[in-house]
Amino acid sequence: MVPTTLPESFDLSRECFLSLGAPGLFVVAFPEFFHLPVPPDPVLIPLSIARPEFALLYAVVATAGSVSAGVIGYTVGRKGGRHALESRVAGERTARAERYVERYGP
Amino acid sequence: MTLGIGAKAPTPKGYELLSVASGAFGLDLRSYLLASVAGRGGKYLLEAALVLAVGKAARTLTEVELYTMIGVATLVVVVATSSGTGDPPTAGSGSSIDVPPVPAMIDALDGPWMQTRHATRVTGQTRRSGTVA
Repeated sequence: MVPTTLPESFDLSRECFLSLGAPGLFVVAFPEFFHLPVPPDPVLIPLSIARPEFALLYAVVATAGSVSAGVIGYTVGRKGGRHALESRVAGERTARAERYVERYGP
Repeated sequence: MTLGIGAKAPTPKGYELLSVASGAFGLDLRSYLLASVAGRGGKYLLEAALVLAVGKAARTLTEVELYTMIGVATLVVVVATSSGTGDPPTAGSGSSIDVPPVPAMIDALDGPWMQTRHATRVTGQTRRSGTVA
């Protein structure tokens, strides 16, 4: 039962975002950072196929939505420091990121 | 680290980790934004460019075929970008993190214990020079 309902809800969400056009793409790209089940790619590609003349604009809109969400993540890290990082990812990955910064600098 | 964001940004999980890590480890906002736009924008521009390149044929491809093509192309670009940055050659790949870090970086980033050792060393030298004088 679960394998049939998940794709249906996925398709329904995607159709919803598709019907909104470029604003819908921004809306779907923004929460991808927070692991929304619908990534922007299945919205960006059909939109670009439907309106190739706006393909680059769609790419810019998706980038804007994604980077805007990234700035929130950056701010969370800035305010919360290492504790914020450890609360979001496993300790081993935090240590790996720290070693990376130690090696190449911030 | 800027290179790391650029290389890891196409994957959502990697981008999340590096965004929070950038803030936590003090990367300046401008570098972060430039790397983010290059990484995320590169991925989306590549997708849009592929759709334009494939053109009408994209309409006849199944989604699995289209996404496979895009996935392979993204992977090739990411690997080529991260391994073609000169010295260090694998800066963005994350596979060479076991190489000992630059001593200057350790001095700059290390914790209070390192500063204490420095302070002790300087104090000792001062004392010795004081005794000699």
